[in-house]
Amino acid sequence: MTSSFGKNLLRSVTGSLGRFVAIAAIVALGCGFYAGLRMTCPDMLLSADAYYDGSDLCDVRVVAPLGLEEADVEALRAVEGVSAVMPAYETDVMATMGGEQYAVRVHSLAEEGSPELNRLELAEGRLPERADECVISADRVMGSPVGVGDAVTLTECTQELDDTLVTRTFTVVGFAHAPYYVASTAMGSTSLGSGSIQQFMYVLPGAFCEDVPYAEAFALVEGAKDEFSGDEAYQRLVDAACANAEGVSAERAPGSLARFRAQTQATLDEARAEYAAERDRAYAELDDAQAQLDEAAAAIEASEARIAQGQADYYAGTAELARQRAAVTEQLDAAEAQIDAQQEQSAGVEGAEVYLGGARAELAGRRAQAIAQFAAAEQALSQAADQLEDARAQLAEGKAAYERNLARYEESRVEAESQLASAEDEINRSQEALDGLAEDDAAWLVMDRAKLTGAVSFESDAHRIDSIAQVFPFIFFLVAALVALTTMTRMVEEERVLIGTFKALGYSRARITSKYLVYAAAASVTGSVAGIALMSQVLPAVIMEAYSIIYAVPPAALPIDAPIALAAAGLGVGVTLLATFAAAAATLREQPAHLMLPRAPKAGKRILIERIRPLWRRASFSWKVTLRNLFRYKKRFVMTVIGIAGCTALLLTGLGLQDSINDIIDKQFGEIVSYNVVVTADAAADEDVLDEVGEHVGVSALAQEEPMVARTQAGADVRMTMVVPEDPDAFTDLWALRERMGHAPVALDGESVVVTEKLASTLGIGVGDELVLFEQDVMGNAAGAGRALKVTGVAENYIANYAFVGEEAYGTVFGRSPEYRTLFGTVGSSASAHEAFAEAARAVDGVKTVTFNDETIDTYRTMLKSVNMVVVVLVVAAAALAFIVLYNLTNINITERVREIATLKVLGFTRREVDLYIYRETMLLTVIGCVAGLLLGIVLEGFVVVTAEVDYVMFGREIHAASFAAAFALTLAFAAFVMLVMRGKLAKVNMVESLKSNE
Amino acid sequence: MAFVEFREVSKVYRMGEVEVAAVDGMSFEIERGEFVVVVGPSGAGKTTLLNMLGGMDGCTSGSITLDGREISGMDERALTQYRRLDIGFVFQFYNLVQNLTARENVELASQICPEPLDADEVLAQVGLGHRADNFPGQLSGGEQQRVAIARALAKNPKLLLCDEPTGALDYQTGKAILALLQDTCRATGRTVVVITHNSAFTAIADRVIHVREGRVAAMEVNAHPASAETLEW
Repeated sequence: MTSSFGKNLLRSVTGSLGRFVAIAAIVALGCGFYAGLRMTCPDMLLSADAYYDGSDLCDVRVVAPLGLEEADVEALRAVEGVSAVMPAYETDVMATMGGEQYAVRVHSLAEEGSPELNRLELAEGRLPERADECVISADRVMGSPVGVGDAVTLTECTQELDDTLVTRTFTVVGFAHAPYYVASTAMGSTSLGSGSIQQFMYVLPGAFCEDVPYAEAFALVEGAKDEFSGDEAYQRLVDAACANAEGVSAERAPGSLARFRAQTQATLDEARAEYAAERDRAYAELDDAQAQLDEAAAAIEASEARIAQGQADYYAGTAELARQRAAVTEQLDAAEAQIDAQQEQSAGVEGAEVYLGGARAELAGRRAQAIAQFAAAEQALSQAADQLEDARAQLAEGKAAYERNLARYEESRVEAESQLASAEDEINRSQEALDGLAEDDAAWLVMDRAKLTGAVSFESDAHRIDSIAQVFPFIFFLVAALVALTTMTRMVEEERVLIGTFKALGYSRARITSKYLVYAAAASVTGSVAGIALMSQVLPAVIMEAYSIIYAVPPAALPIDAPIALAAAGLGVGVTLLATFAAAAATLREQPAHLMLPRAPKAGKRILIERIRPLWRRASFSWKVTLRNLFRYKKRFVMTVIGIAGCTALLLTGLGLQDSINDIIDKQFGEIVSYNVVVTADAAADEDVLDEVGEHVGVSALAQEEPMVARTQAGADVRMTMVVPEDPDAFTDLWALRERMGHAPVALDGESVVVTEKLASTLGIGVGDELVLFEQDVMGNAAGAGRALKVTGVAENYIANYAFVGEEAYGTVFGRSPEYRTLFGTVGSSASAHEAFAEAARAVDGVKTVTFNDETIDTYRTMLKSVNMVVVVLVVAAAALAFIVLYNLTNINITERVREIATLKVLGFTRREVDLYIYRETMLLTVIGCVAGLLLGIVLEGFVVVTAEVDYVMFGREIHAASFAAAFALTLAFAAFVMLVMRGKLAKVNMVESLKSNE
Repeated sequence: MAFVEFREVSKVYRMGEVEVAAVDGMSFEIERGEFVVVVGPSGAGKTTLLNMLGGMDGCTSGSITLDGREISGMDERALTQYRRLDIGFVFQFYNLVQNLTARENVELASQICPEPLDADEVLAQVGLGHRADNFPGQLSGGEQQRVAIARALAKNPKLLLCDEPTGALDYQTGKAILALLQDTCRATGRTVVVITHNSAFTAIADRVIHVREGRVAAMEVNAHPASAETLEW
């Protein structure tokens, strides 16, 4: 445009740069924010696609419940649409790393000659070269508890550990990013530990035992790399390949099943044979023992008989002795009597004396001999008696030993029988399970990336940003429209006479309007181009940087998405032009003659507050002017209030977001749960295992924890944990069940069913409604029939979803009694106390896992870090909004009131008084805007929080008083800054202006 | 010593390389209580004179005194106080604050002065007691100028400075305003300086100062000034 009209246009740009800049800046802010936020989602998805393609992330994962054979892998390779297949081993273990236990998924790296999928990107160290080496995640949010060269000890496995892996101790040789695990907060679920995978481990295939079959196979789909991961064309290709793979699965299933059957049957038969042998051996042993016992019994009997005989002999001997003694004594006595009689007869017979003396001596000799003989006999008898005594004692001993052996025998018999019975039972059960296997059970699970928790989580976070992006920039566009409206209205007013002149000269209305439209277009196009160019690079980068704390996806190039950029620019330029047109239209309708006259100043009007006479009378004129002006210039009022409200709302949203995440930690671990360690016992262990552990903790409560799936009315599944406390009172001492609003306690007794708040809101249920629970299968999906429980309370909770079910309620619904295998307890908070406890607890036989809360707390502290960057963005945006709006308002106020200001100066107003005269309005509007912004901020923050929340977390719902204060104070500070800057302009107003006419 | 004294006052504006003397060695005196008309064609330096006398601009050289106080050489702060306390200003275009009623416009001035006159009384004095609660937009030009005069008077200033007070008014109204100013001067003994290009006004002045090309061309004292009502132009 080289016409005078064009020059005039160009000069009006250069002559009022402030105005031009104001429009350009607010449009830049609006368009930039909109475009930047909207492009974040595609940029994130693009980065993901590039990352997945670059690392050959599997398009399809095939999991074979019965394992994969080389032939299966071959069949898979032959599937149409599949371009590469990598078979792999996988198992879940509990591992001790740096003194803490983690649930770890162990993967095998590619075998030699096999294509390498899900390629790791080493961050540190090297890949494993030996069977006992491993690499682990470099992305663990809490920082790795081990370093290169440290050992990882496996303690437990989903299968038999020693039959699965060749070693229990691995050496960490490197840290890697794994495309298969892009999200370090969502690595998948497991039946071990707390239920979720916390760490991954890649080992050489040789680390798995030789006869372990492949657990799964990863596959690339032909041509899928050329498509955008997740979009329709990609999905079509993958779906086709999946369908083909499923077809192959159906073909292979009978064979697989048969093979598995045969193999398992063989093992079972072997087991059965072994069992039989074992049984026979056991019985043989038992029979031997029986025979020995019998022998012993016979021996005892014999010796008993012997003793009886001996006793009888002894008695007979004694009697015989007595009889002989009597007989001999009688004989001797008779002989003596005979001698006595002979002596009497032969008294005085010579020789008789001698003869008789001889006889007497002979008799005495015989008597002495007899006595000696008897004594000998007596001694023999008493010896026999002693021997008998000994024999008796021996017998008693023998009998006791026999009894003992008998008891032992009985015991071992019972034990052997029960062992045999349970072995048989197990064999029978395995047999039953084997017999019960159908072809369906042999079918492969063919899964695409939609089943990859990390990728899904990344994608849904990207879309979450997009939902926020669709609402958030609205406020900027609204303010842009208002800024354009007020600014252009002012411009048109200023050029009133000029417009009249153009009109009088014969320029058409359209031509004149076009000047303002072109002006506005120039400003808004400049702004939108600058804003979009800058923010489409900055915002996605900042947000991805924030997310990089959680996700391993490296940011790719940030292309400008043309449709979004055009939409943003269109919106920005569109609202500006619309506002400009509205501003120009009214003036242009007036007659030229009218326009040539200075416009009658907008008449003063009485306002409502004036009705309050006493108040009004006391107000100074500047307050009166301020108050009347507020209502006089409604557009400016609206612009400023909305602009400032936007600023305050953005600040409050940012600060509130921080509060929300802080609250997760502070409330969950400060107010709600007071335990800091969870110990679980093995399912097979005795129930008193945990009692033993309980001796090492301060306060403890037992409960049954069971992973479940709750189903929403819409049919979506939510994974959650059902907790059945043993003693509700002890449990609630460690886990305060309360309502979020008012903190009223939620009752928990045997009949209670208390759900956590987030679960209740996801399911859309409340007190009195039904909670339908399904058990989880191996993959964590709902299995079996749903069981309905009636909800009796909803409790505040921030992390994970729980249902607390009373013992009786559990018994009634599930028809079994709970097994309390989880212990919640408190131990000292120091690292050494943790270590000591962990050691003590793991020393108890049957303890499965020991988990401290610190880990979870660390996760959320990390999340907080990523939010901090977002807060910085919000604060900058808020400041920009406040600056633009207040700058524009002050600018308009000053240019419009130049005469008024000059007059006041002439009247002798001091600089301070003049500043206040103008700024009182700014301040009042700022305060009104602030208050409105706090209200708007509550809504906005609520929206962002609910949108950003994931299923298993509830962010804090309260914005702290300090954040309100800070948002308020910061806004005022921004306003103060603008006022300070604009003071110079106010001071420059020349008093001579007051002498000029009114145009 | 005269009430107002201009001694060899010059005001030079630099416009790039060129220096323009708007006022070039101007000297005159005004006595207390006089009704003075400063008259001259456009560009004669009337406005510059007004700016300097009104404390809105300093002079390049020379000295200006009012009631014995030197104004030339005052700093910004002192000038503000001077305008605030000593000068009542009446503008060609009234310069009322549209958002304030007549009374509030008067109070606007009186609220910043230590010894103001009562707003309602002053309004009554200028004949607008009944319109005190009206906004400027609801008043005619003459009425607005009366409010402006009332605003200037309410400050109880030493000097009433009027810049073309009738410039935006019709003949009859203009005359009435001149009469009001003259009456005010007569009734209150206040010094009034009216700046105009209309030499007809000279007839009603006690003292007439003719300005031409930045200098005082002539100064005359009317022994018997005419009444404003009889004035015709």
